[in-house]
Amino acid sequence: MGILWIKFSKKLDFVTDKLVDVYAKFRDFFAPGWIDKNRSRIDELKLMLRAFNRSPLGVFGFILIVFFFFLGIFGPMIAPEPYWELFRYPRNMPPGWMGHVFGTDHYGRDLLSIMLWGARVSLVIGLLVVALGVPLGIILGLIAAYYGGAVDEIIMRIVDIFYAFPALMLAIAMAAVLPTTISSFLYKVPILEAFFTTLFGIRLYDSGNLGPMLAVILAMVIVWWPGYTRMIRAVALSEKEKVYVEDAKALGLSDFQIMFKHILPNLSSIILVMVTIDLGSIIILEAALSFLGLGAQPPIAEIGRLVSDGRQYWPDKWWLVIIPGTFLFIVGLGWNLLGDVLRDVLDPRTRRSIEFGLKERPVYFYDIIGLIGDLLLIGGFIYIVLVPVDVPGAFLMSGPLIIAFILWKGLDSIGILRKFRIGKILGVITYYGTYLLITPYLLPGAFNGFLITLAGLIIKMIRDELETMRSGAE
Amino acid sequence: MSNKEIILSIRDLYVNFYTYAGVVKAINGVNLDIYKGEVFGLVGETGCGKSVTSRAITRLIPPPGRIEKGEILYKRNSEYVDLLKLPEDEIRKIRGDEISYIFQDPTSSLDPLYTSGYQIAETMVVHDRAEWNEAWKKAVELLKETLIPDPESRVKNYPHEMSGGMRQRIVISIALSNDPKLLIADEPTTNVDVTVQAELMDLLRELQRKKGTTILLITHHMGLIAEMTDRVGVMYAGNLVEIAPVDEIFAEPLHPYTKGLLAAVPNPLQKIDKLVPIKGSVPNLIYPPSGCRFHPRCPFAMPICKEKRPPRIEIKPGHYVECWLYAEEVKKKGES
Repeated sequence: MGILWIKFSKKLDFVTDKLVDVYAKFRDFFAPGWIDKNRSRIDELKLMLRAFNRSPLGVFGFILIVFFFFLGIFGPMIAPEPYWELFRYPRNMPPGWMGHVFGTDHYGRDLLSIMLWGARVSLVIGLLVVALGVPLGIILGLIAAYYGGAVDEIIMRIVDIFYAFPALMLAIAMAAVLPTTISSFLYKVPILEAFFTTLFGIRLYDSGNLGPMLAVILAMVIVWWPGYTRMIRAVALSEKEKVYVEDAKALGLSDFQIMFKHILPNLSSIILVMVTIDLGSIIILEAALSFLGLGAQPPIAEIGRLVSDGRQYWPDKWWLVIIPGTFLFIVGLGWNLLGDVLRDVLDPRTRRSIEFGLKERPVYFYDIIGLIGDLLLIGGFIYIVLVPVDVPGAFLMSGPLIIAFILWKGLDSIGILRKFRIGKILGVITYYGTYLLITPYLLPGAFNGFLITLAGLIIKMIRDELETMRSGAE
Repeated sequence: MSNKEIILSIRDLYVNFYTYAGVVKAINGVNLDIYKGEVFGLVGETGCGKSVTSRAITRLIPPPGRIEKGEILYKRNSEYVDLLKLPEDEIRKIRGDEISYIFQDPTSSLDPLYTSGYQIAETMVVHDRAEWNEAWKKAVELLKETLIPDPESRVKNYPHEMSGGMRQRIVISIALSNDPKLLIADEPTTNVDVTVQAELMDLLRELQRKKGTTILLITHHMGLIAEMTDRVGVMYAGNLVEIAPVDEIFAEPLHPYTKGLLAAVPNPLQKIDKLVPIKGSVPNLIYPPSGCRFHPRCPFAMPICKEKRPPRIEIKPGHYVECWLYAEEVKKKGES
């Protein structure tokens, strides 16, 4: 596996280098001399992408996210059937019924089409929450860190107040109160109404649903920004102490210039990583809210709503929960993998420690061990996710993994989950809490899958041990 | 000396730091005149307040530090202004334009995300000295002046692509970009190796001669002081204990602390068996010693040293010392 990846990632390097060159030529076309002026930047960009190529998980996550964006943007256009024709077919038909790949949903629509419509809604909601919440959080965090003293106190106490409310409760309250206000406002501004219906890919006829949808977005923004303020403040505090900030001050730059031209860009990689990881969580939180009945109402296609509608037929008609649940899982997994690798790649120090001199070398014993480990890992994954028929409960990788882990470690172990190397995968999954509640009895079959995965992990660890022993001997 | 024009005058400066442990009286009544076109050296141990004094000039003291009282008169357009009373906007115009700094650590005083050319040009643009295109061209010229090889390609480099000495040259270029009247170099060569150190000092002196910039050089390196400066101020525990022309400091140091400081530095021309350290340790400035702050370590301490702070005495023209030993002498002279 390792060797295969080396060969493959060298091919990827070729592709990414070409991409950067094309981009540089593009810039050079509009601003002649750009290539010459930015040679260092181009090299750095190439290096960054090469470092990214070294990580199979990162590339895998990136592919998932590209796929998700593709579905989000083109989903409504390629969806074979409209979302608004209810009860066209019998309800809750299994996958493959009469050529419907995913079967039909609670309202007798083609599930595949509904998923495609729903992908757009998920994507737009996730991006809007980030676009509104992140700048607010960043600006307040920067101001708090830079000025310190009373300003810092005031901003951080407001953050504390928002933290003191349980996030989900606050979001539920906002989403329950806001819709009427927003709807009546949109009614007066038809341009905005048209804009948002296009954005969400819904009919103008369904614009009554915009109120609840935007309310959910606003609710999530309100829940989300304090986290950014806290994080940005923390990192900006240490950044502010660096000599170049003092230097900038001594050179007569204004506070505004120092904050936004020198401190903020230096935090950009941290922000990007946090946004990437959060996008997955936001989409899942949004699904959780619509699972609880907030947000868009039928017939608007909503992934969380699909899960909640399907739950009453569980476990006889498992596909109603499994298919949308797996979609959410994949999106969350993709963002997490991507974010995790970006963290290593965007930081110049860790980027430089990534090994580039990958040479051709003979196949060692530990390579074979590693391959077996990888196969077991993937096998376990597939067993859990894709072989659920004889395992009535394993509708998500999350469910079994988490339940097994909790049984093993006790109930307060959910916090521990995040610390593991595979914890990023588990970390997302903790957000599935809502689904877990409805399926506590699924364990036995899924446990096999978990054991396979675990065996794979242990074998991988043995492989790493062998590798260090070998390099130590040399 | 007095016929020269004073460019900066620090009068009775007090700076305190309000820490959790207590109030650190970091600067305790410093008086200092700097003449136009000279190189003034400020020496002293770590923590004696050299850097705080230099930062106080343009009010760059970070909280919890606070300038308690004093005046810093700066000659601006043939008129003296008190920098401590200027509004924030005005002082910002002076920083980096008329008074600029070189800090000690070249590895971290450049923003890692911008090219060196950008950072040099930015200073000019911020102070409305030039537009971006023009500033960029000037940056190349400045790099040429600071003897960086191949300046056309160096302006496009990021800080991590350069060596320590190169970076410090960039920092110097930034500081010089607006032709400052006063350049404050705070231990500019502490973090670069010796050969580069010599080159940088040569460079600074060259530029100073060419442009007539006034330089306030802060260091604890006596060699640099001897090499570079015209006049020297010796600081101890927040007091400026002795000011003298550089030759006199080395030929006949007056203050016991100055004597101790010179005895603690090896002289390459003489074979010495043992360097003589100054006995005792630096006082805690939360509870500074009464009277003369040096008296617990002073071999010549007298009863009066404990009680009253010594006055500033001009022993020779331009040679000032704060010490009771000479107060007696002056008195005797006056009597006889």
